[in-house]
Amino acid sequence: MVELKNGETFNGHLVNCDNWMNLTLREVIQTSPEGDRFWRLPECYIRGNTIKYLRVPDEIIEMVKDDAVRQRQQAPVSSSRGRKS
Amino acid sequence: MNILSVSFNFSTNSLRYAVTVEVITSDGRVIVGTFKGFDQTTNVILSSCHERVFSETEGVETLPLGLYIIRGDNIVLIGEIDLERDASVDLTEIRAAPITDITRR
Repeated sequence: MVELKNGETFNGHLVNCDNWMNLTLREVIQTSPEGDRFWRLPECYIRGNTIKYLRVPDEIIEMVKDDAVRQRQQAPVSSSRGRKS
Repeated sequence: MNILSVSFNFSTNSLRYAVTVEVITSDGRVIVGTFKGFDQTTNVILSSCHERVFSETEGVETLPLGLYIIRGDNIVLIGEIDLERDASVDLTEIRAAPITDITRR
């Protein structure tokens, strides 16, 4: 769930993100800041600098830990490649 | 996402314990949670966090939030919470005016 600086909220599935926190979401429910109006958007693009905060599922923390461990395990392997003896 | 990979590199180098922090955001919200990570722009990751809503008429209301990524633009203050001192406070007895959001004159 993404809340923007203007108070609008976007609930959906994260498709993509980049280094500036720009996001593309699919199957989005957009809610107005007052909480009274709703829109359904098949997909949307959110510019990172408009974001106030992101709420993500608790499971993500576990997935990221596994990802970070795996990256560190792969790094020593790839750095030894290409060394001339 | 870059922020998550940066934060976990940091935490395995120095922090080996969970730190509870309180974050105050620019809209005047008080959020307490376990500090999981940050990056150069002070985006912050808090797990198992909850919001404390202060009121002058009733005790503190605690709203569970879950896993949050707060963008650095919106962070006013981050403070480490001494869990023992925090536990000794009875939140239902506290009466306080809520913090207002940042107003630009």
